[in-house]
Amino acid sequence: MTRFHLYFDKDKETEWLNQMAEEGYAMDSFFAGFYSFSPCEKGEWQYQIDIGNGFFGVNKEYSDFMREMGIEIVQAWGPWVILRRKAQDTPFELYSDVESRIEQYKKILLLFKIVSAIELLILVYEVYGGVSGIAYAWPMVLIIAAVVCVFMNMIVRTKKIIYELQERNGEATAAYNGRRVSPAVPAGLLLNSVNLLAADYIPQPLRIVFLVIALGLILYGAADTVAKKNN
Amino acid sequence: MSNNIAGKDLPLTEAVFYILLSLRHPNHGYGIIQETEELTGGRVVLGAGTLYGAIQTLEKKGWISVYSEEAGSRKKKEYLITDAGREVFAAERDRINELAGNARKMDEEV
Repeated sequence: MTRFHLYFDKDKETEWLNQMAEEGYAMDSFFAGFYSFSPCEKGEWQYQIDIGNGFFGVNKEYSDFMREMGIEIVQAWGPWVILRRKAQDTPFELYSDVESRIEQYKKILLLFKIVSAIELLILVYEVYGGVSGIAYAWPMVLIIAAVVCVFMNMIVRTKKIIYELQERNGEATAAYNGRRVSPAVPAGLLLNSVNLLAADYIPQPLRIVFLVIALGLILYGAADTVAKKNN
Repeated sequence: MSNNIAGKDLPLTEAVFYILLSLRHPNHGYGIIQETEELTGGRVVLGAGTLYGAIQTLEKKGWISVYSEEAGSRKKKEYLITDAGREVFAAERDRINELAGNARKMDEEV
């Protein structure tokens, strides 16, 4: 069985994989958003996600260490590592104290920042393409801008988690007031992009309606983003 | 306290404290988890990620070192505390003894 899912949140992904294992489906491989499952006994496996130190998979020392602990590396996708072990009475936690949990979220934060920086470079490149009149450059600009919004939100979310963990640990930190971009913004950007890409197939009056809706979403989202704090 | 131990090294986290203690004799990863669990009556169960990260850091700091490495494809490693590690541990023990000594005052003085 194969399921498609795009997760940028390791906690939600872990929860989903464990829920699938509870129902008798053990995830055994991953490729670009496609998760393959094979049947298992209900609740046979417990899953966890780790962030490796390298940008390209895990080193042998890490995999040897995990094997010694009775933990199997199911899939390493870049630095994103999916692990599992045979279910035990206790929950499967890779990080047992606040200090090491903070370290793990800091690695995730760095990863999101690197990916966002690459996206912004591509965005600049596509804007240049759009100005030079290259086909499909503007729809690409809109799509990448939408992806950037999603990653900005993941950065804010991760920073908030780190802040809460540090607070729990009694570390003095300034209050965190990150703003999340309203989902209406990327939704509007994507709608506008589809509108441009499918221009030849959509009747003119409908295109105008879509454009108005897309602009409305972006404006509403912008206002919503400014109005709400820390949501 | 020895003056070559930087102030930022102390206090140790509970995980580091028990890892160093478990490595007073040669021990491997799983052994560290088991020994820590026994010593604390099941209160501290080290996660594999926490232990892996701590071992990497402690090795880099020179507080522990590889004692033996199994031959073959599965290289199960045993670690042992170093002299520098013992020094840090002693400084932490002194700090904890001071805490414990001062804690007794709560009952003595009214």
